[in-house]
Amino acid sequence: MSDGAGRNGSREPSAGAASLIDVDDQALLRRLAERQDEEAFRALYARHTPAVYGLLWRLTGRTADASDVMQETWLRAVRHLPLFRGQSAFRTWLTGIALNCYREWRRRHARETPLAESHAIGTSSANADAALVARTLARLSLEHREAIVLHDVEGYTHEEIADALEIEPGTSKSRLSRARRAFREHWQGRTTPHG
Amino acid sequence: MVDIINDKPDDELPPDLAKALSDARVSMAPPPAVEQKTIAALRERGLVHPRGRRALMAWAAVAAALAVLAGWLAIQKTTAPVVGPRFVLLLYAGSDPIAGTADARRTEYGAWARDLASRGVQVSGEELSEESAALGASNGSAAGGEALPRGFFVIQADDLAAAQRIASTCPHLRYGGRIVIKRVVS
Repeated sequence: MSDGAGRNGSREPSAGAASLIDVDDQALLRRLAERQDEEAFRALYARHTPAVYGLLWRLTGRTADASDVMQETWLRAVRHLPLFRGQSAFRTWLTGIALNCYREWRRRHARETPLAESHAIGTSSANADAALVARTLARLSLEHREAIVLHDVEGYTHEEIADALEIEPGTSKSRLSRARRAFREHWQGRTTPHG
Repeated sequence: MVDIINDKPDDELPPDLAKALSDARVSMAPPPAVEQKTIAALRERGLVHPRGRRALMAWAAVAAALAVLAGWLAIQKTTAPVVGPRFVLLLYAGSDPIAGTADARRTEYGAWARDLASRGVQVSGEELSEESAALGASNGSAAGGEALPRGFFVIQADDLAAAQRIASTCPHLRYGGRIVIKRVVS
């Protein structure tokens, strides 16, 4: 992968964050909220960023954009930490913020169809099907890609997608239907593993 | 390799393609610069602080508080004779950074000592400087690699248990510090 990411997204945390590797989310969040403990933040970052960033990468299709949205996600999450009541898992809460940030990003990029990194994803993946999926997704419009990624890749329901994107569930369904047709057309049109 | 079953309706995915899509849900690490930029932005907004800097600031505040307290205690020492067993409370830095503002800590250390004195407990204390030396250390370092106390109180108490009860009320513990209690040999 061009950005150095692995399939499981693992990256060595800092020495301080590594010492907190066995500390649970709740304890880390308390340290972050009460003491603004940077090592606690680094530990949370190392633990949760790869999954959320993976989602943002599939949605935006570009490393630079996914990185910007990821950064904004963490800034908002830390700023609004007092609002996190622990009623859901921290990852779920963070993902919700990420989708809000993505929605704002999407408003600014609604007409774009980024293709620049389609090869960068596919050629480095160990899984040939995953590589083909990634390349095919990169060819879709933003709206189609988002429908496939959220529903068929991430497993969100239409109601959850509707909440996240502020649309009606029926709109989500019709978008998915169109997106799947587009996906199949691109998929069937593939010629070579890198095509 | 996944293949398409072409007689499926357009808006349905064949199972193998559906599986390929769900398998595409992989984690990815962002470029390392993202973490650094995020932390820089959080620091700029005061939302995180480097641990070392916080601990240093906190200890500077504790040292200042001890210095203020020492002045007040010097007066007490000249007016109240020490009676009964005495115990030294050695104040060490804890493993966690010390929370709270410097002003709050100053107020609390002073109030704690005044409260002890008002209840008839003789108390004195000093701040200890960073400057130190040791003789006989195996590795030649000043402290033989061990942590050094940053300050101490001397209190009067009936026995070790009583001294421990008094020490347990010291705000130094609440600020993340560690206290070792030793009896003074009279």
